[in-house]
Amino acid sequence: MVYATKTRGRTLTLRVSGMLWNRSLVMEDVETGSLWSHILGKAMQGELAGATLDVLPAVMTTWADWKRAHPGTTVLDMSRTASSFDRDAYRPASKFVLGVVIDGSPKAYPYDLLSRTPVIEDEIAGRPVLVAFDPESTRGAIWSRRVGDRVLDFDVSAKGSPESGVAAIRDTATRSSWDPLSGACVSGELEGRRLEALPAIVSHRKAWRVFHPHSAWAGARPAKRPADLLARFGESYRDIDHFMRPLDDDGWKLRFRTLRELTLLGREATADLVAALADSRPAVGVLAAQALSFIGDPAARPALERAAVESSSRALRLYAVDAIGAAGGKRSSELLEKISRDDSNGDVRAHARFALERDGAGIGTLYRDLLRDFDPARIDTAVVGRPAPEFALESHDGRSVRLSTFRGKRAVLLVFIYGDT
Amino acid sequence: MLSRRRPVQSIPSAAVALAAALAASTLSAEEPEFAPRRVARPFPPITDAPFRRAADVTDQVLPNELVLGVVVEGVPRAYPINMLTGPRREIINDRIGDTAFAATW
Repeated sequence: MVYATKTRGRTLTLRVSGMLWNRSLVMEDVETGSLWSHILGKAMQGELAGATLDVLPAVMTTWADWKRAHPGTTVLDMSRTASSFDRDAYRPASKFVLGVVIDGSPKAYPYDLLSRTPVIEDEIAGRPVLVAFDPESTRGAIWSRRVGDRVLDFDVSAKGSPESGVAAIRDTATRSSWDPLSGACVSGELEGRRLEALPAIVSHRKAWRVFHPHSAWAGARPAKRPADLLARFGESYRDIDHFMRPLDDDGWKLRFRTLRELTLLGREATADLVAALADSRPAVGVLAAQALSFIGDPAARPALERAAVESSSRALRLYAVDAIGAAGGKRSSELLEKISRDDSNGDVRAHARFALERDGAGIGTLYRDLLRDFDPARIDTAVVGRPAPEFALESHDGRSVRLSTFRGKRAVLLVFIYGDT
Repeated sequence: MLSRRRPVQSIPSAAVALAAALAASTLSAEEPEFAPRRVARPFPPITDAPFRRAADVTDQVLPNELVLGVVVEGVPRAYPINMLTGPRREIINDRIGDTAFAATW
């Protein structure tokens, strides 16, 4: 990333602060000691808090490609710090994105999508853009399609072969031919004109999600319908114990995959989930209540209050109580107090006490962020009598601790704390 | 408090506890909270880095290696990632013409 260092009328000298935020570099300016997020280009703390740095359009590409495009270039001449950081660094493509923020609207173009579709015409925050990618050099660029007074549309169907990278494309207005990677018009009426480069950066997919939680994503699959997800779940389940105990592989993974998709749909799913609370198959109602406990939509409150009192399924009552808490349990305190005294099941009573404390703020966003990258396919299932599956968790002091570190050294006791604590 | 009873559903209960703990830390739904963690002392800024012309490059940077390339006031300049990856090197303060900028990794 290349930043213009003049902001608010002064030129800053930036240095590595020695701090990290969400595993990402924090910069410090020598002049005021303010702390800057590297990925956001924004002062987060100090005298300049709130100030931003302009991103200069820069590209990440191979030296060969850069030198070919700019034979007169100069190049930094410091000693090397790593053996070879080459284009393989951006593999697998699925882990990286080309990202851009236009007028406060972030959008990400995943590298695997760009490898398949190297030229994309798009619009971000009302601004017409052209996205181009060369799988060979992994160079990506985002251009404005506005040239003078004109907005250009391109015929992007003429794709380059995988060997030659990206071929020239024509604009539909003048049939001039453009190189989508350099942004230059190479022949035709507009020859010599250049597209304006927009400040695209290469980022880890996960980092982009953390720093731009509301980013648009190119190629995102159209949302599934909540009713379809519930129907698929309803057809596949065997009985409620199949999902609850024992937690066998197929059972919990189907359940969590469905919960994840419903949670990502958020409040769009509320109406279907409320209807499903009364489903004749107990597992479907339980799942719907649990999904509502992840979404935290106050609109579901009346239906949840009924279910929490009237359902004959203790699991459904338990999750209905959780869902009331997720939507702000303090607003249903009378009902929850009654449940915490009178319900026949101790777990439901405990969850009601817990729900009473909750204000429900931000719960839907929180769960969406937690579940977005959650992939049950990559998680092993613990089985009685077999070694525990490997996992890693962050310790209280920020270190990553793997279970295998302890293998053969000492006994490990795993305690998963239960809900009312 | 650990339950004396066998829980009906242990995994979702743990998830609720986790979510509640996180929610209680007043996490803003809109913008991630700035919570930096110090892992090293600050490094001195780099302000006068040396450059060479492309024609003079031998094995300082190899054809397949990645560079951060920028054109400022019509002047192209490249920063090989292999020279930026150490924590002392992640920010190069630079200037071309009237434009002050920093190449960062």
